[in-house]
Amino acid sequence: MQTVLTILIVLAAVAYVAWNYVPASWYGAKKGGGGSCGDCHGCDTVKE
Amino acid sequence: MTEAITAILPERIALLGNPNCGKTALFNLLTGSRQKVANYAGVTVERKEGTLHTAEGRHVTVLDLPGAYSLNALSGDEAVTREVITGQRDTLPELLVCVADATNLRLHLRLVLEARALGLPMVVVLNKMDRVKKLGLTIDRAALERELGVPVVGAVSVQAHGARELQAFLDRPLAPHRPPTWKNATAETVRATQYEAHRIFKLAVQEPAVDADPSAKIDRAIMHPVWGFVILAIVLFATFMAVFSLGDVLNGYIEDAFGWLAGLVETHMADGLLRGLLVEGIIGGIGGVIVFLPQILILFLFILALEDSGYLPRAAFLLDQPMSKAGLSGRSFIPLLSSFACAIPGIMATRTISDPRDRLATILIAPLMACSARIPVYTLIIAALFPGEPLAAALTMVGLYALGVVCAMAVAWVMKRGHRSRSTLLMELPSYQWPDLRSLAIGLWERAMIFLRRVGTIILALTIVMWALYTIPSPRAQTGASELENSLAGEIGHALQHVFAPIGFNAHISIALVPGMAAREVVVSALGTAYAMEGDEDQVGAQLEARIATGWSTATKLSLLIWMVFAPQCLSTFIIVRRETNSWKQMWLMGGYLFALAYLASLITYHMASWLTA
Repeated sequence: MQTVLTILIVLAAVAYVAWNYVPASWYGAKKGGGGSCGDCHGCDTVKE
Repeated sequence: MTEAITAILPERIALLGNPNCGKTALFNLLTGSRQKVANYAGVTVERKEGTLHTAEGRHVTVLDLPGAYSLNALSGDEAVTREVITGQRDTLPELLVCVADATNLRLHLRLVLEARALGLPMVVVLNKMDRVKKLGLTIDRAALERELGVPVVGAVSVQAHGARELQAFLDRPLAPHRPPTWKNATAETVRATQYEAHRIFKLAVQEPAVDADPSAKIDRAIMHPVWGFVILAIVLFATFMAVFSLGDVLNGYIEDAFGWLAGLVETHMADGLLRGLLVEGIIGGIGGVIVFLPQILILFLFILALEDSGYLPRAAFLLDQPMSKAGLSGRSFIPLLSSFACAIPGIMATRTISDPRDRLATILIAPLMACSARIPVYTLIIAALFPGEPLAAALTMVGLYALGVVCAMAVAWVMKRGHRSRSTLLMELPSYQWPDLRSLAIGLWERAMIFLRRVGTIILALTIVMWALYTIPSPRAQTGASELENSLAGEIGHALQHVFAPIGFNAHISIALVPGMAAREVVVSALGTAYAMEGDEDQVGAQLEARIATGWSTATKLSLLIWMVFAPQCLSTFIIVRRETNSWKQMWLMGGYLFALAYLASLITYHMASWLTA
């Protein structure tokens, strides 16, 4: 049970990092919403 | 052929005004937003949008525009303002809310007159009315309304109910109007507008016989060519002294809390992978970063108080001369100052720089300013270098910040050789004021939330990935090596050692630098995870600093500090440089020169320190 949960958590973390830091065009998708330029320290840029 | 617009009640309004007249504070008050405000010009460089509810319950869209001294735009941010209110960008607003600093109408009336000439429905908001009385000014609002031919309302944008008059006005129907017409002003029109502003000012404003504003007296010391720099150095030193001495006390409690949490998980959970992830990965890694929250908040408390007081633009003015020696103008100061929080808003703020060469040089040196993400790394290593010595720690921290600034000036000088800045710094110096406690509290709360949000999202995700890499065994496991050395992370770290061993970095440091490209603080959490896995699980809360203090040589500690000053910043900085310069070449130029500078400086530091401490 611990192993399954751990694998799921790690996969979710990998997906989160990929979603935020791999350019959307690499997986042929256009991202909706924020996150396209990663996460800085409070920059409130209007996302293009 | 133009068509008349016959909107009865405004549904889209734009806040327009000179820099530092309080537009963003008014925007926040009207919409409940928490956009950044400060007591100096150039904070807003993009348009912001929010929604307000009028007294009658209607929804109105509010646009907060960058400050502009004139609609004859000189810089990129002023051009944004003109394009929005002339309908060249976005939908045309139905009402212009022209915000003017009531204590400085002599200057602000000119923009009011330029905006009025557009022909859109308009209301003038006299902001900072609370200070009018204090300064002994008398404003005849009826005379202003009569001369300007538009309604005039008062406001105090830093008070909870300071925009009541404006909110009531928004429920009044507007007269029909035609789309605005805009053409660049000639010298004659500019002169005529200036004369008209002066005439209206004389009619409507009565100034006191004696100036009640103490700013000029204070400036005699603060802006003194010698004492001014001494005061600036004292302010910086006091800030970092507070960061180390007060921060150290507070983060001891956080360390204890994480140690207790790790013990709790170990007591109540059977041994297994998930327990390892929780204790060594999440508590060991995240705890190592959260522990620096007090230091970050203390630093920002000082920065916010200095911003709010009106000191920072004076510092910009003082630094104009040294910056001009490097070929930059004082206009670069605010973008560079913003970069101390994060390079991204700093790079965006370069839009206020009208000279393209100055702007590019400022963009390329902005990452050399020590962003707040570096604070945990600096603090951790400095604390390991000088345990229990806050004075030496504060001086080292000032030194690291100064090193970044001096090298930035040197790089700017190289970039601008033969092309010295021709633009002069014209900056409006705001009056001094006591920092508003409510604004400080909101600013600190925002800062804490930004940090904790980062910790709870990207830093947490990367720490979990790092833990997994340290846990998954490498297919090329070697007999006799430790479990960590035989992990995937160990394998990657070993490969990176070919590059980083000459500058004194061990495998743990080398691999921590990779996720550090996404968020600098992950360097600390990745080291926290690695040492938690290597060490005793009982000491997860407090062992990172001790392991670094005893396990790394002084030369390695110094080399990593120097690396953190110069190394290319996070990926987000690369992306924003690409976007703002519209050039891949400039982006790679920045990354390349920063990497070369970091490697060379760390190499020299490591070998010199090794030789001196041998």
